[in-house]
Amino acid sequence: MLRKRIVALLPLRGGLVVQSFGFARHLPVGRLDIAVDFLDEWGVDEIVAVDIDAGNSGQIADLRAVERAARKCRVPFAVGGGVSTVEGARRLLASGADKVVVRTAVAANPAFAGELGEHFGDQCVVAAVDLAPDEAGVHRLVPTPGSILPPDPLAAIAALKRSGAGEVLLQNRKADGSRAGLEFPFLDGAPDPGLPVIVASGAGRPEHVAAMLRLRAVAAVAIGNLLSHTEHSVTHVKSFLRRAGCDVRLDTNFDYAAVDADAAGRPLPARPKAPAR
Amino acid sequence: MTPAAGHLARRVDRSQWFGTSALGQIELLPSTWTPISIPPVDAGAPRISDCVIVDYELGNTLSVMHALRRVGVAARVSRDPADILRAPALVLPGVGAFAKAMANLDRLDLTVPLRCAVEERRTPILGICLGMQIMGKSSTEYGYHEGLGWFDYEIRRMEPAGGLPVPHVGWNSVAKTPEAIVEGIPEGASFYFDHGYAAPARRRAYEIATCDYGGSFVALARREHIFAAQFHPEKSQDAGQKLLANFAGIVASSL
Repeated sequence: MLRKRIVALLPLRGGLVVQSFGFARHLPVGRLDIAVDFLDEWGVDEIVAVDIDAGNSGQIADLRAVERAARKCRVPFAVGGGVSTVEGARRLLASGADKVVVRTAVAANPAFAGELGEHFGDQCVVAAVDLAPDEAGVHRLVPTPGSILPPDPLAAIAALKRSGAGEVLLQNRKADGSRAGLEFPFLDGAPDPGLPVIVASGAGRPEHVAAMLRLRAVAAVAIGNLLSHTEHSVTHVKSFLRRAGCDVRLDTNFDYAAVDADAAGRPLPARPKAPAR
Repeated sequence: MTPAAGHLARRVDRSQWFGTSALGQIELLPSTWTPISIPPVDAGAPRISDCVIVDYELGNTLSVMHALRRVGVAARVSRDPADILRAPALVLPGVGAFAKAMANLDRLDLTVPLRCAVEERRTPILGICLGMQIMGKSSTEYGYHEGLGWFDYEIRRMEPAGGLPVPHVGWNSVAKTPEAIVEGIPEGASFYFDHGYAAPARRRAYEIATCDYGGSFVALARREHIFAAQFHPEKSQDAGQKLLANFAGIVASSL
């Protein structure tokens, strides 16, 4: 059985991993290579790092930070930020990234996904799309400069698949950092989109992740803040998901299966043993 | 449950190792307490002098190099035919399309040294993903193309039953037979796959592990000193690291 993936989403600003709130406010978390090292040890399935400054400055993600992190990373490592040329992608891959995350350039020219696929294989092209609900509460693409993608998310996913993207990463600008749960109502009951869809933004509790993983159209959930502030956070989340009936990989040599967790996923003290008779 | 797990999952009885000094401060009493140590996966992995990762412009050579170095292998990336001929062990990575891989090996004058090393010098080699596929007989990826022919599997577009999406991306478990290369990897452990073409399983003796994704395909193959993995051991965390350590061990014991 192909397992559903738990992806760590690490936004980068000024060379540091940050916690993001609504894509507008950010709190520093720490160095990329240290975050990668820990998340890997805790059994995460994949790591996505996106330099959020890069999109505005046109500068590619900090390559030296990527290289340092890639040395530690024993799981697939996708990196993005300001990639708009094949050469830019090549530099990221040469620094140790396994996949490239592209957003603005692919929205303006979906054929760019195919061009990257021709050079590096479509498995390494992750097309990112930002969504937000409009006044009527219908989720629409947040327009990026020159975007020609259809505003309907499912139509945009289909367009990205046709143009050669290997995976799609959906982020929700409104739910980002809210901890109130992931909001992708259009995926409810949606058919298999034919390529892996990763959803992100808003996970505050393991239940939120479980709700998404039960959807057929969702291959992976990307989590940021929920993983940043607790030791062994990944193992806790996965242990919860296993108990909730989600088929996720849990290969770490301890699994907290016998430990109850509080609402934030932190372990509660063990129950006292029954007195010996 | 390992001792480490027991320590982490159990409420720690502090009376065993905390005491109160005369001043009322908490102090450590280390004599009755042994610190836990989680042995690294690569503990005891034999070191081999040099492993050459074949660079034919189609592979995540850096990831493979880092992964091999983590298990104590002095790995380096090279496209020099002399390096390939001299290497005690080879790794053939690969990400991309089959025809381009074969064309690149030819264009970079690597096909002959690779054949010499593997077929005549019998250098142990591990093919990964596309590297595994080009070790086969042929592929139908963008037309019909012949491979290196070290295995007789034929690479085909995956057509999983039940309309599962292709490419097959993510962590999947494998069914394996006991072999040195998979020794110590727990039953049901998952590996990271990322591919749209595969070799359908045909119950051949060289099939060490198969994976099921709407149909069974070859996940790991071995013919004497030739090893081929459809998944990415360099991106499969502990299970992958163990497999690379086993490969290093096999190389070291055959030297």
